[in-house]
Amino acid sequence: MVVDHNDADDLTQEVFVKVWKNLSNFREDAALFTWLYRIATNESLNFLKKKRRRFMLPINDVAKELSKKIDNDPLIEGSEIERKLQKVLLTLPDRQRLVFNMKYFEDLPYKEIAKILEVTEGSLKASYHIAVKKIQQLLGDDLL
Amino acid sequence: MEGKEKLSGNIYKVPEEYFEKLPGQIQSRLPVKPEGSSIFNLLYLKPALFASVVLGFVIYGIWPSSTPVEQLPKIAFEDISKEELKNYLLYTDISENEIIEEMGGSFNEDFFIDDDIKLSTEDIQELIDVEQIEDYL
Repeated sequence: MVVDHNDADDLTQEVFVKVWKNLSNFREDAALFTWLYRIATNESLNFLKKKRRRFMLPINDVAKELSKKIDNDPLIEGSEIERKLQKVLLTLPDRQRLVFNMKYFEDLPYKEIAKILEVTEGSLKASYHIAVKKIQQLLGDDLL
Repeated sequence: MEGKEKLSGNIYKVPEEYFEKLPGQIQSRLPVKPEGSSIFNLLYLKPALFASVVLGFVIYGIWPSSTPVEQLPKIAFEDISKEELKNYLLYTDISENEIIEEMGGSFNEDFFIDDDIKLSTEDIQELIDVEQIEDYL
């Protein structure tokens, strides 16, 4: 979600610190996986929101900055088409990108994503469908 | 989308030994557990007792008791460490009245109707466990 390794590292550590601090609030009616995933996604979304607010950047500028990183960061590999897909994904709204990542790359069922993001399955399906359509428009139908 | 080869999203690599070092880095960011006998815990756990002790010290300092200082026992407060004193006050059954009397003051209910420790009826109701009281009735 955040592309840059240092940002991802910071967030990973922050998630585990939050988990440690809030372990007593963990309700056993939710699976540990769901709870961890929820903290991680919330942290990532908040991080991106703050990043934009801090630099007063519109979504496109952040996308451009992260796109450059995809081309130049030695820690980012993958084929040309995989990099291209990542760059296109950066043009999507954060939550839509998150839903796409969870469904397409992580292969999580809608039911599980709905629990993590605390939204209805219907809205997730709509969000994913819109994301796929946008990607197909930008990359062509053959890739997805 | 079915039947098409799925693209990988796992194009992000991590530096060597990243995951080996990660637990240590997280550990260093965890807050240190506060000690049980810190002054803040004392304030939090026993507000009434603490307030009365502080009040006792103030009263003692401003209005010396009728007992002349030279007649007081040799064991002065400065001979007792603060830690010992705090632990004693935390775990002893001694009441606020006894503390004040021991310090040479006299118990006066008016001392507790002070701006700093004024409690409303709602505050008191919130602090009192009604169910526990009902057990005694």
